[in-house]
Amino acid sequence: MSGKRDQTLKRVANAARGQRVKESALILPFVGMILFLLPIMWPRSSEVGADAGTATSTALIYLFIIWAGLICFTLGLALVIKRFGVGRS
Amino acid sequence: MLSLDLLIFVSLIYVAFLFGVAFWAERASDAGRGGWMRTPLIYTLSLSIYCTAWTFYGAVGFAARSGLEFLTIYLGPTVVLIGWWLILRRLVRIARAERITSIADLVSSRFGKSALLGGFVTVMAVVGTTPYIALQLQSVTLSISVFAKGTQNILSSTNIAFWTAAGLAVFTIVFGTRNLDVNERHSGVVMAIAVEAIVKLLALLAVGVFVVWGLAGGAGDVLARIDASPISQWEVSTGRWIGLTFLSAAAFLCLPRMFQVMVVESSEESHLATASWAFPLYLLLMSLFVIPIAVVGLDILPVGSNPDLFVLTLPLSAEQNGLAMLAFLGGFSSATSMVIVAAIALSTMISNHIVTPIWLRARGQGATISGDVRSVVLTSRRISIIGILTLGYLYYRISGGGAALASIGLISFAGVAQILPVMLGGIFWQGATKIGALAGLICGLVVWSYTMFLPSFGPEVLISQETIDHGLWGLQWLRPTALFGIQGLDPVVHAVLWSTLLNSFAFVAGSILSRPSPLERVQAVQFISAFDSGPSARGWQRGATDAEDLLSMAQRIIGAAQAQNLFRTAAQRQGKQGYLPDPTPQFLETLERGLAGSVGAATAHAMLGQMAGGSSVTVEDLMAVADETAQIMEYSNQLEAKSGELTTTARKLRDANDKLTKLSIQKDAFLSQISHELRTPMTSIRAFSEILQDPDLSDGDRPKYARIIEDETQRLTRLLDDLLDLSVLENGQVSLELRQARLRDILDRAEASANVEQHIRIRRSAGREDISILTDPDRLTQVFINLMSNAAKYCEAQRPELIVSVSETPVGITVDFIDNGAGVDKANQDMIFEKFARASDHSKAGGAGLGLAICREIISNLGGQISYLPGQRGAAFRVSLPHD
Repeated sequence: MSGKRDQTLKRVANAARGQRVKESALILPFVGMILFLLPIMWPRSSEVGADAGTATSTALIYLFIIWAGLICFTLGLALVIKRFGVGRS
Repeated sequence: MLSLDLLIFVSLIYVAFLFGVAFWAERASDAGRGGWMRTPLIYTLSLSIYCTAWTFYGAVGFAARSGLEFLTIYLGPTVVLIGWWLILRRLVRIARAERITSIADLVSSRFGKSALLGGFVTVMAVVGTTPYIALQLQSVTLSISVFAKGTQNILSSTNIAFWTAAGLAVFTIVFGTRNLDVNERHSGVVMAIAVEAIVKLLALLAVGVFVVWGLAGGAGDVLARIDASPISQWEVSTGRWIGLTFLSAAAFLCLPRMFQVMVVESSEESHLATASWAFPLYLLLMSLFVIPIAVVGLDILPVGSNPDLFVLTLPLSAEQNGLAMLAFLGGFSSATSMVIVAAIALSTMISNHIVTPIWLRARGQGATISGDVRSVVLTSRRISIIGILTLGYLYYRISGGGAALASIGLISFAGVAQILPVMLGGIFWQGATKIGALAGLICGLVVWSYTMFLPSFGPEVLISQETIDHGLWGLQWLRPTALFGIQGLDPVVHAVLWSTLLNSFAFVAGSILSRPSPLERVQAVQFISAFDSGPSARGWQRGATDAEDLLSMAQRIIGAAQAQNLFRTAAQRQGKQGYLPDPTPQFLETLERGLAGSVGAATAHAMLGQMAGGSSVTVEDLMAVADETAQIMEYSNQLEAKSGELTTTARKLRDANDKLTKLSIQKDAFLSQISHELRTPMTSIRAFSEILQDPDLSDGDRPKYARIIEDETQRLTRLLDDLLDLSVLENGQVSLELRQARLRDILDRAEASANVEQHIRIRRSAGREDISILTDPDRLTQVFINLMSNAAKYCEAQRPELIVSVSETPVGITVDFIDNGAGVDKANQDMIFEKFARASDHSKAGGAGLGLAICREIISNLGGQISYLPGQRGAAFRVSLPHD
């Protein structure tokens, strides 16, 4: 009996994880989009003066860090999806 | 300086190597050893054809001109790939299920296998891709010209472009049209572009590393140089940043070559999971050194150097000939891999959506049997490849090869992005229709051409300066760079905004205003519910098709062995021997999908339509089927109702029969009883009469016997009276003497007459009995007496008790007689009011069983009702009488 219950619990846990993974996979591109579009709100030297503007190097570092972070997240999701076969019907 | 001859020699060796790789991969795949070629890694590398010469050379130029803006071209695809779960997974699933061969096929198939839409998308793709191919030719020419500088060589720039185009055509024809692969997968080509992907990545990384740690003093120094460079400030325009990111994402999904490698050549859905992070990583690496190369190039190369060529000129200026050679090969790889895949994708589209439909129509009915479709398709593909490269070459010649690489790429992107609304609408919106799709595509194409494509050739080439300055027909609001009077927008953002907006608007409006055909509806459901498994609902009817004709046609298209295999499997599934299955709708559908893999959904559908005598489902068919179904359902409903009626009647009859049977039995029982009842007094009378005749009889006995005779005679009379009474009551001949009387008086009289106080205790509630009613008091008394004496007779309780309760209801007066005995069992409850019925054994009753029957008749004559009240303590009778 307890074996059966364990199995049921496991199935429920798997289903919940599958749902979480699916939702993360759906949200991730939107998060990425927002983070990539964020720099357009940064101050530009042509508007606020040469000293107060944003340097290209700063933007460069920001964008590449975000990029790398997104890649890591996607890698994690891909691993989870491959391991647990989420979405395989 | 590297000699041009050496460069060309190395290039030729590299090309030969690529031929070798492609050839070897095809061989391995044919021999069934190609499993490792279908790995996620190869899939990811093949996606890298997104990074063309534009990326390789142009990104640096782009960065040198506009700073970080070049990144948008990579951020768009990155977002698409990390969102693979949302769009790409669906696309791949649909493409696999529907055997989609190209993006034109996807659109055509979704909107009712429309040949028109397929052809239109094909034209758009060709128009959109031509500038891009020209761009690749231009980049190869430019890169070679760097090495040719200062040397007198017979190779002019146009010559280089021409020979490059020719070489690419040969490679594409050899490996791209070797066979009509069922799934349009080309292992040789995919392998070759995977190798090229590695070469271009290594080359760019090598140049980057050399620039950062060789020419500059490391990462810190590069950052310092960035801050000191002309592009040190973040000056990206908001519109361009958003617009270009969107544009690159859209183009990534819609570019025919991307669709080819990403969706068509995808062998497994799970490869997408790997590509979702691996390809963004590839893009990141490709763009990592772009800004450093641009900045260092701007810093150390002479002013006026073409920034598009920094990747080559920086190593050359530092006398790094080997590195320059590698960089050249990287650029060459970028250009060639793009052209090869684009040519394959476009040629498939042209042959499937333009040539074959036209050829089929030209040959007319039954042509599929006599003609050799296979050779037509292959030939048309080969000619298409040559045609596409010729177009690219011509565009290069006409546009003069002068425009910056990036701007040409953007024109191309914006062109193919016009397919995006229709594509997304097709896979997510069930209400999208063919008319809407066509309207959207035409609208997008027209706006894009007018605002972007035609002006790209420069003034007075395809569009006059007059039109550019003052709008079409002199209408100011139709100026190509300021549609509807909106000025100040970047030209690219302006064109993308208006073309996509108007395109989407036309698509949605057209879809809402038009009605889809039945086939469109069916396909829409197939596409939208791609993730719900279940049988498809497409319509092939069992037509007059001959399986042999089908086989001969299929052999010509997908090859003899494959066709025979398909037919034999289908025949086996139907339980038949040999190669000829019955042309059932299921089989026709399987066959159609098989053919669709080679010639596209629309063509396959049209071919089978011709073969099967146009037996695909029409609206009329569907309506006929619907009518028939409705009739059958109505008939079935009628039958059901009748059946229900019959069941009810049968049950009533059965009940009646049961009752009759019981009555018959009771009648027999009564006859025997009445005989007995009549005989007993008669016997006594006869016996005592005989005794009375005896002269020896003492005088004392004589009156005793005479009284017995009299008693018996009275009993007989009473019995006969009862029978007579009942008969009169039943026939309705009774005359009632109606008058006002008090219920209490009637009950008092009944109680006194019944004379049962020794046998049963009667409890009454005198207060409630004070009711005046219009009735026949004598008859009612008779009923009450009967009920009381019945209770006295049958109640078997130790202390018999009868409760008489009266209550007044809105409809009348009820008098309940409830005793505390055993009651009447259920089986007898129906019968007790019948004549001659007696619930218990006869001996005890002492009557003929007419009492309750008489009661019922009296009460019914008085307009009331007497019934047995089940569920009380004991036997309970309810007499209901009407008000006055």
